[in-house]
Amino acid sequence: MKKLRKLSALSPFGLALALVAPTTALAQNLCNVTYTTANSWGNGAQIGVSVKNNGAAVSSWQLCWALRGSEAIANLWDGTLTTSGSNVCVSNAGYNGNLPTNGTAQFGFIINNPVASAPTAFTLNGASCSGTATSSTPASSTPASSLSSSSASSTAPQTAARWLLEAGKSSFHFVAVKNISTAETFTFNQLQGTVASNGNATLSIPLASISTGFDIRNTRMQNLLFESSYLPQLHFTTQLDLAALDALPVGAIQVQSMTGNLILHAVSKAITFDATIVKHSNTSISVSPRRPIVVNSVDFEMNAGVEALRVVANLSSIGEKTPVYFKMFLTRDNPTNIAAISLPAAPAAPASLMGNLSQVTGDASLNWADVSSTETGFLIRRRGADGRWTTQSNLPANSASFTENLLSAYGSYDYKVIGYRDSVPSLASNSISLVYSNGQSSSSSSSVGSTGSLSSASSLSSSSSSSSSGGNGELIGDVTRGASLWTSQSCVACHGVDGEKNANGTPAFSPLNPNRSVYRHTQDTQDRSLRDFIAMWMPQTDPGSCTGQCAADLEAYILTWRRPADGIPDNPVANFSCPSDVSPYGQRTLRLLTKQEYQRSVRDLVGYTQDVISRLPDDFIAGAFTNNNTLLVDKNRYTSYISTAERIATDVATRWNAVLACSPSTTCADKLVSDLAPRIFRRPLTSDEQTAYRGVARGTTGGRTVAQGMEVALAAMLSSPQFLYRSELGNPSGAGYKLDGYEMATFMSYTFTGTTPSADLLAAAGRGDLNTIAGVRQQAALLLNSANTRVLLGDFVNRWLGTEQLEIKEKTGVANFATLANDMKLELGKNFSQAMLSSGSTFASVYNPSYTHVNQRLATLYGLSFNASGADADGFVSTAAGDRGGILLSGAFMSRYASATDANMVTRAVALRRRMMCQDIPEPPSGVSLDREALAARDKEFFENPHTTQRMIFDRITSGTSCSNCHGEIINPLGGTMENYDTLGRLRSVDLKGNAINAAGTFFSPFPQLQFLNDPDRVIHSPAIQVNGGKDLARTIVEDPMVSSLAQSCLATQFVSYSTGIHSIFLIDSTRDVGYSRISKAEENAYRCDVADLTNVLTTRGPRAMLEEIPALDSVMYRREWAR
Amino acid sequence: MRYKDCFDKERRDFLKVVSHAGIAAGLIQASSMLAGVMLARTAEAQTGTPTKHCLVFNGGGCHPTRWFPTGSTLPVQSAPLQTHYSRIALLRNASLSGAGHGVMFHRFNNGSWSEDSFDVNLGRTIGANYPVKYLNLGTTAESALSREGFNGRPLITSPQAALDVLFSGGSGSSGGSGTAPRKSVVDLHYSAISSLRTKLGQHEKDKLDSHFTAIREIETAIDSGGSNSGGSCPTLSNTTASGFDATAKLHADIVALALSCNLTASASIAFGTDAHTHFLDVLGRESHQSHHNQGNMPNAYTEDIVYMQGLTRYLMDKINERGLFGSTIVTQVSDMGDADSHGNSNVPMLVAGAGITGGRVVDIGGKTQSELYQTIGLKLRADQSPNGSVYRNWASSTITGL
Repeated sequence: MKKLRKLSALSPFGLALALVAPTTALAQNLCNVTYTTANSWGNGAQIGVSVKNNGAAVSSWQLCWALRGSEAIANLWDGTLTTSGSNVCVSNAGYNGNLPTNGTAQFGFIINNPVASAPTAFTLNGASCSGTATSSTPASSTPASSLSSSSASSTAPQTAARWLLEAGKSSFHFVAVKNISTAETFTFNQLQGTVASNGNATLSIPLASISTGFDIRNTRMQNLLFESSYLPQLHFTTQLDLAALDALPVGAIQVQSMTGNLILHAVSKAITFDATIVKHSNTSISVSPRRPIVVNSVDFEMNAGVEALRVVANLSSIGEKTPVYFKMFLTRDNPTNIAAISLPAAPAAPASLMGNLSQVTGDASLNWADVSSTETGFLIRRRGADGRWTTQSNLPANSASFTENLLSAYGSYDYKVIGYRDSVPSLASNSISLVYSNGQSSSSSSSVGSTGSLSSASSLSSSSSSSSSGGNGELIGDVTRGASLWTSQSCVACHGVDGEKNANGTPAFSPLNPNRSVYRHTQDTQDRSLRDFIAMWMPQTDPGSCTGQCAADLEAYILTWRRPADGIPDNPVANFSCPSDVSPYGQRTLRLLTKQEYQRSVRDLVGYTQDVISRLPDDFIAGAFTNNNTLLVDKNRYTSYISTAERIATDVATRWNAVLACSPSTTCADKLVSDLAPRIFRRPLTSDEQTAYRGVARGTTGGRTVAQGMEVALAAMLSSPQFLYRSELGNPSGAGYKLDGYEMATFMSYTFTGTTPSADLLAAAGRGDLNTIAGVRQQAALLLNSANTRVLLGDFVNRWLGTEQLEIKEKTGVANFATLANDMKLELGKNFSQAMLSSGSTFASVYNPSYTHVNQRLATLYGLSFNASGADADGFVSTAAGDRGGILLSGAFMSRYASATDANMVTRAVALRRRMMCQDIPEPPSGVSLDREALAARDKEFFENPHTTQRMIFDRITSGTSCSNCHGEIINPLGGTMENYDTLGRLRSVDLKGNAINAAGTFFSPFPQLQFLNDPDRVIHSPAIQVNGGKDLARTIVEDPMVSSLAQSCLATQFVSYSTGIHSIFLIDSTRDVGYSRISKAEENAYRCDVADLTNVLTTRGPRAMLEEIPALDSVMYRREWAR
Repeated sequence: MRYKDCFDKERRDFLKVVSHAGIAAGLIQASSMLAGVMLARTAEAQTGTPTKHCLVFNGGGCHPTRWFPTGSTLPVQSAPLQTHYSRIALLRNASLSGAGHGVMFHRFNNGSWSEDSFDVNLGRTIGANYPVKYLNLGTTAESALSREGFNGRPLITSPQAALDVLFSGGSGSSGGSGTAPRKSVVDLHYSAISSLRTKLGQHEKDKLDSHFTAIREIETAIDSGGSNSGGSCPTLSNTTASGFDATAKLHADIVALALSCNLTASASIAFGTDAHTHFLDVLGRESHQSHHNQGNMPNAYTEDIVYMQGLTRYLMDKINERGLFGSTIVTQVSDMGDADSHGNSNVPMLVAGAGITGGRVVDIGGKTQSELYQTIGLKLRADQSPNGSVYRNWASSTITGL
């Protein structure tokens, strides 16, 4: 260990000075400033400034100095400039205001007429960096008021503390939660704290004083968690405004935000909390957080220790987040002049960490540059597959290498090195990654995220060294050098300070997305890694000028913008698997008829065809389909039902003969009850019901004529609970209920034909045919021959795909689009019902059949030949599909998800994912965009360029990092593959500007749950599923095992959602809030197991067999009362 | 006089009128129409105090710079409201608990799965004694906007269905000289529900309880005998509409009619949906089409908002024509701020009418619809209304200065 006195001479800053003089100024004590000329030309220069804060943490900063000669700052980034005469001040930008103790901030600018030497006098927040207070700075400076002339220096270790912690009165507690619900409160027996006369407040806790009530637990926490044998102290430092404290009246209670630095476990991190300060007397105050401060063990790399404690104590879990609460009493009485605590300065970070891994022996060896002269030791930290940093070794001062054996534990390991003095850590070195692969000959080493300081001397010195490389010769990028290059290579000019925006908040000229797995230049023919992309194409003005180490360093820097990886994808890629203990029952329920069902039923029962749909209250919409399973009948709704039924009865009363083949008479009234009523109730009437209705129909109940009585009785039937509710209650059977034959008939009839059961089906129910699975399948097969089924499947597919209101879309310059839209809906419906009902069809028929249905108008529109012979009642014929056919390549889908003039790859891809793949894409988050007007102005020329395609425009306007989470892989590359279908769904080869269509793309994320671009651990399917054009996409949906599995399961899901009335979001892997509570997981499993069964039937026996199987599903035939 | 006493007095005055007219109270509940007319008579003298509410959802957001005025002249997007500006307070810095697409259950509510939406809760409190507790109309089918407790209440998109609800709550068509026809109808239904209840036990009890209550309400009405006397409340000449514009305006007519005839004290009307898929027939395009510009800022979007706010203005015109601003508060919410970014600041919310100081912009500092609903709910004294115990407290703080 070197003597402290040597520190200034040998400080890392001193090294930096040697390298970058003559334009570097040395300032010491409160802050260190480097002022570096990155580039210079004639009468201008580009300057980089970094300021290191040696004082207490601050949440905003302002650095000031004086210009010399005729210097003028022209353009500044990463800060805000104010100029007053020759005095200039730079305040932090919105994103770099937090400056912890030993933290560094940087900014840069272009200066005209630069003076050759660097300025020497800087102030930080009003205090001179060299240690004397100054009055020439703006009034906003904070600590100046508390500085006295005699104690201006921030390094005055022997100065007596102004305030002392009263350990006896103060307390410090933290809470550990084990086994999920058991919370225990722990404390420390020793607390030390002082506030120096400049306001620097320091709390130090000897970690050996942990008090948990059990000695063994104390020992374990010291050894496994705190590693207190070499990191013995916890420190917390902050800055207090002493003048304000003195000014506080006795009895005052003040709440203020407090930012400080917590130093624990060789990690130093800023913490902000609201503190309550109470002035008890002129010499006594107390400070406590308003609410517990939650310390995340992950932040302090202690989660591995938490896990070790869990294992050793044999607990199922220990919470990784720990609430901390304290109350510190401070006294102004310091009669013995106890000195303020003075923490040692942080050692300089170890630099240039490199590593090698022998694939033969498993020996990992590291070496680094020890550029610090003050450290008392080094810690080697390693992170493996579990994502937790562990301390592998504690090495003595002046170490520069380390070797360990990985003992056949194959995998990827990140390493970093941290120096420390007492318990105060340096910043970590750069991180490196070593891969130990079983039996593979090559080892790789690449840079991962780093915490390296942008201005540390070590990196400046290493930037002049030769390229660094890993064990196999691949270049290792250095984040710190990359950060410097970002400015010196002018990347910042086009890509802004963070790839998205410029220092002043305006959108960067060319956004850069750090999350992509590969990059492709517009003039390139293939995807590249980021470093290869940089080497080949960057900077734009001089491609090829930044290759090798330069490109690797920039790549490393850009990759620091990614979210840190933890090795676990946010969303798993597994498919649903039916649990063996599933309770296979559907919900026992009463389902109110929908308006359509009511309309069709009264048509089939009493020949009433006037509109009732527009007079009945609205149906409930659950996902794609309407059903009234959850609706209650209240007075408003009941009023409507009665009024509607009365209108129908009044109409029927004029034509009883046509309905019952008799005129009002007692016999006819009896016939109404004996013949029509069972059809309306969809079951035989009980004897009580017969008696009651017969009395009303005959007129004897209520004292009416028989004609009046029959009308009232019919009105009562058509608004009765027996008619309005589809009963799915069943009779007790085993652990649940089994639907009776009439209930099965009702379910099957409404599901397959949308209307009340036919007399034949009710007769089958009466015979008991529907009490067995075989009978149910047989009747289902018959029902599917109904003309109604085709109509219903047409409605089904149009609702599923959201095209049911296609006719209200506007298509510029297409006057008859409403007519065409109705044709397209028929086309879609016919294609779908043919695929679902034809006995020879397969799943492929749904998406990629050999035929399509068109009428004359559509044939003309699509450019297909049309032969009217054999046309159906709607004028449609089946014809060879060509590049059409199936539900995806239908005019309806393509024109629904298009704008008035052009294709829309975003809405098409979202509709395809959500509706056809059952993958839940969330709605765009609120407030994601940058200033759109600024973007529009920025991109005006690009948009107007005749060679800019719609696809390029969409890619550009969604390139911001938040938009790209969904657009980058999930939406745009998929939507692009449908670009060869225009706004009306016609095949096209050029766009509206005459540019050739590019419909090549990739189907990313073929998993039930999407893998978002900002997840560094997302799973990218390999090999990539490449698609070129809509027809190829339809083929992919049928043939690719991953994609077709999604599409098949989704088709089955839609039918289960439709037939049960369960919102499809509850049947897929999504937790999206749709406004009402989810069904229970157990109930969800019952339906999803049936989805799996249906999917199996679909793939083995085809779509028609799948339909036939629906009423035979367990969840249909058997019911229970699921709690909802 | 405290409000509750006020209200009770109004009720007593009303019942006095009823008994003088020789009408049984049951009939009043039976016939929405008649009750409305009679209530209107007692309410005539009580203008100036807010007693009714109309909640408006107007989809699409706004550009704040084109929405908030600096002086007394409204800028382009809020300009349609200029003639009513003296009664309108525009709320600056208003947020939503859920901004963006596809979360309509946040518009009249705050995302709750289990508690009333604002229109329904007002209906159950200040509207408890009105024939139609709440009337929820809209241009675009939507099940999640209004909610009574756990249960979604789809809004009514068909004007004819709305008129049925308002005007056929009585004994219905004449059935001759004997028992009122509906009496026989509901007797039959009553026994059917009773029998279902035994079959179901506790299961789906809510469903049957609600149906049961509906039957009882109608039955009570019929027991009092007589048929709908019509009354003097003007009916609408036009009862059907097709297309977005015509439907929106006819719904606005119906809302104004229902409020002015005292058929309800809580109306809501939704212009469009937050999915922005509603087709604006007047402009010839889907709403969403103008919201994300690709260089041709922002004329089309402004056109959209001007059109949509024209609908709010139309509603206010009708409310004003019927002299309702003395008794009615109109509250407008939207689904986002600047639609371009699906923003959640400066969502175009406003309040207008009885008890509101208009002609100004009130900065509400980021507060949401929850605080707004709480403020308006208390202004309407819903918590002190005859059914005040079911008033839903929306927020712990209110918006001051409204």
